[in-house]
Amino acid sequence: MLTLLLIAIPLLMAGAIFVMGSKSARQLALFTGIAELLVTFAAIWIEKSGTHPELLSFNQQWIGPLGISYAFSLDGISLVMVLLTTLLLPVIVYASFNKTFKNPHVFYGLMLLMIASMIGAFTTSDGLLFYIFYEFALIPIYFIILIWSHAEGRARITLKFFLYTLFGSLFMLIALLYVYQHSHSFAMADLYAAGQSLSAYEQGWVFAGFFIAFAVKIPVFPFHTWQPATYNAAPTAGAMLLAGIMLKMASYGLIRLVLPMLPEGVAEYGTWALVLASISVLYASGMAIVQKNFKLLIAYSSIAHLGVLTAGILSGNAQGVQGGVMEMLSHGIITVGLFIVYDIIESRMSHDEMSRMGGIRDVNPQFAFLFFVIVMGSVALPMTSGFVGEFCFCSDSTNTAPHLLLLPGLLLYLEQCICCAPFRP
Amino acid sequence: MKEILIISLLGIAILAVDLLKMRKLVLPVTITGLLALIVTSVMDWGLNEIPFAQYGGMLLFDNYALGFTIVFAVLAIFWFLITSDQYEITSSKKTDIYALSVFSICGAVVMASYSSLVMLFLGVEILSIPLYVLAASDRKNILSNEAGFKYFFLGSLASAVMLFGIAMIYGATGSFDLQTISAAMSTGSYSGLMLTGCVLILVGFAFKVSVAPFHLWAPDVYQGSPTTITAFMATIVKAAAFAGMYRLFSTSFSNMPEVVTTIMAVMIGLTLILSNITAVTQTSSKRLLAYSSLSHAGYMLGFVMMAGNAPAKYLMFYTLTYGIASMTSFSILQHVSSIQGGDDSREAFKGLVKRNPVMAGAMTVSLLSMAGIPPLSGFLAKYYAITQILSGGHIALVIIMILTSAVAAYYYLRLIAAMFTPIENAGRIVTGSLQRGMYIVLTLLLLVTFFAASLLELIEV
Repeated sequence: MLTLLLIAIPLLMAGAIFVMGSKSARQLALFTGIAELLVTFAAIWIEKSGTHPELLSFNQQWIGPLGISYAFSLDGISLVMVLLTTLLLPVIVYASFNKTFKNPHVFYGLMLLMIASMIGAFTTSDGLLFYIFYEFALIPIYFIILIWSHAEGRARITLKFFLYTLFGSLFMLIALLYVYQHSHSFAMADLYAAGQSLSAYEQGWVFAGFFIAFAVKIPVFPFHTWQPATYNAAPTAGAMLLAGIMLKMASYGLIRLVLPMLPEGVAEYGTWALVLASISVLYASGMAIVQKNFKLLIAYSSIAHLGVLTAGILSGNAQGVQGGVMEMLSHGIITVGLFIVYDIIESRMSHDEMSRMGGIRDVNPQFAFLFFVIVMGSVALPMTSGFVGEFCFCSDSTNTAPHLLLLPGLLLYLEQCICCAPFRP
Repeated sequence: MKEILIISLLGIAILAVDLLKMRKLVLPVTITGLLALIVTSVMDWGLNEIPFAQYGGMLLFDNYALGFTIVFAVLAIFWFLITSDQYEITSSKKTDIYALSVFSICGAVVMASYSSLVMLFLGVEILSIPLYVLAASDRKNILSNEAGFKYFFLGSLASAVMLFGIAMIYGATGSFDLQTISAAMSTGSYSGLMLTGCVLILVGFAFKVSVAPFHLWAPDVYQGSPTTITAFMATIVKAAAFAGMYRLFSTSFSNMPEVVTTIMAVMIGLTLILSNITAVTQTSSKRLLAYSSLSHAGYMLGFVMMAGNAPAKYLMFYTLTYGIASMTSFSILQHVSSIQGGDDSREAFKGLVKRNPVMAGAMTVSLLSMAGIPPLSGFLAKYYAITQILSGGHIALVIIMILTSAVAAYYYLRLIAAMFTPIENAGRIVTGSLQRGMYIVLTLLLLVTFFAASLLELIEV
């Protein structure tokens, strides 16, 4: 029931905000965020104490003959992702508190709709429902970027973003339907069983379908081309939603659907995905170094981080997956932090060229210090959240493929270059 | 039985209303008649009535027929309400159009309830002949005349081809009765006559429902006809043609020879690819919606291809949700282009969100539903089609469906993006309160039918 509450609160509040108009939209949105966070804490407490597990799951048949049900359950991984979402929601709302938007009620209403569908994707235990939530989250963010962006050619950029991700997820639908042909039910447990019973060859194809869908959204080279332009065009709150939470749906999908469903497919063909992820890391890091524009730097460094994340998850052992979950949480927080920093600087300097940003420390040392902490988190310095995940990946790579050890090392070097770039004189 | 009587009497009543100069009553009368049609259909549910059994029982009002009758009536009510402000209140033209479209719906009911190929042909003709007039009803517009002319010639040709096919089937089996033909065909051996007849009927239907490669008339006719009539043709008429087609292919031709299935599969693939790719290049939004209507015919043909196994209610769901979305978008297109002096390019839609937010919202939801984005019922409708086809093992077709739906999303989204592009000094577009109410209701319906889709499982069709 708690799960249902987590989805229902933002949904109902979105409706309320739409209806009530622009007056107190942002206060209501902030209130929703805090309420969500409290419910999440309650859910974590219940999960830890293990006393009322029935509160964490919900199952109601939707379309019986097709084996689709409104099924939600909160387990460890889901809880981490829900925590990420509900932790970031108040932050994102509060970060845009001082801004004036046209039609704020529509803006915050769409934001809450998107939160509802992302929580839905993170908590559902029905494959088709996951697809539906995964797709639906696109609509609000599409309109958020289209309507509240000031960038040139936003119609073209958002169209590209929408079509890319839609096109990708259609491959997921094909793959899902293929497995469904064998399971006749979309319950994830049944999908796992049916997927595992496929031959390695079939699993490879199904894996390819899922991987294209997730690779577009993560994004992994060469499916990433929508991402920098979209981040650049998006209003900052939209970019935070996109980078902080929405794209995590894809890496979450890898962990939740692909790994348990297609173990042989991942073992057999995962190397290709791993190669793409590695290219993605190198390429994006290289691109990040040469960016002059702060927002684009965040965009490319994000691709690099998520490349490492993908590689870690696809390495296929427990440590990689744990590192992946940790890294998703940490990357979400750090990216939103970076975007807040960007927003603060951009709103004061009204440009985001890094070469013209020097000397902030002289004006505001506290800000510079906090910025530095966030950057260090991004570089994965020990004692920051970023370190935990990347440490897991590194030690994990030594077990499975020694040659991959080179990659994180190189990556850390590159990352340190890019993340320290704003401090260049 | 009562259904046919009610709809025919309704047409005559509309003419009487016109004669008695009570033209303001025409909309209430029509809506009342259609509601009565729905009520009687619900009351007859499950009775499997065979009217005029002494004449050989050429009609059968089973749940399938009643279900489609309800779909036609519901779509017709929406259509009459949403287009009610398109005609001058007192002109006789309005009553003409109302009477003609009601007679056309009468043909649709026959097409859903026939159990003899003779009645199928009669149904097709009753449906089509008023339509030829309706297509040309904008008498002073040369394009409308062209549309009526084109529709008439090609429609008659299609009817002739279908009639030829029916004659061949009669020659091979000695009967017009669906069950007798079914028994004759279930032996598994097909004579050449039977096969040719089957293919000719398929071609006739392919003309009527406008699937490739027999679709070339459709964009011209859809574009030339008055937009309200286009909305009628793209929704109710299309639903009727598929109702007739599905009934034939789920009974008589239920174990079709492999070659017919293959022909259908090729038709579906061609329709999806041609219509979606051509739609991208269209500058006129009306023509774009016409091509989008063609692509939906491809999906609906998928149900017919799997008619042996797929329950008919999924086809009904598809026709209903597609009908609602398509009707809404055609109606909004009509409003917008009439304000813009007939311009229906994407430019005309710019800034619609400022000029009339309700219209922009309804149009967005309808287009997203037609693109098949969850959580709108268009997604479920397409999903049903895809699962049916997948269960038949046509994986290539499923992949074409899914890839072309991404293309479709592209042209729908371009239109949506135009609506949300701000423009300078645009005046508001005023709509009647009835229309505004209808837009809101239809938009909500597209959402509600998604979440309440489980109700569909309670219906036995």
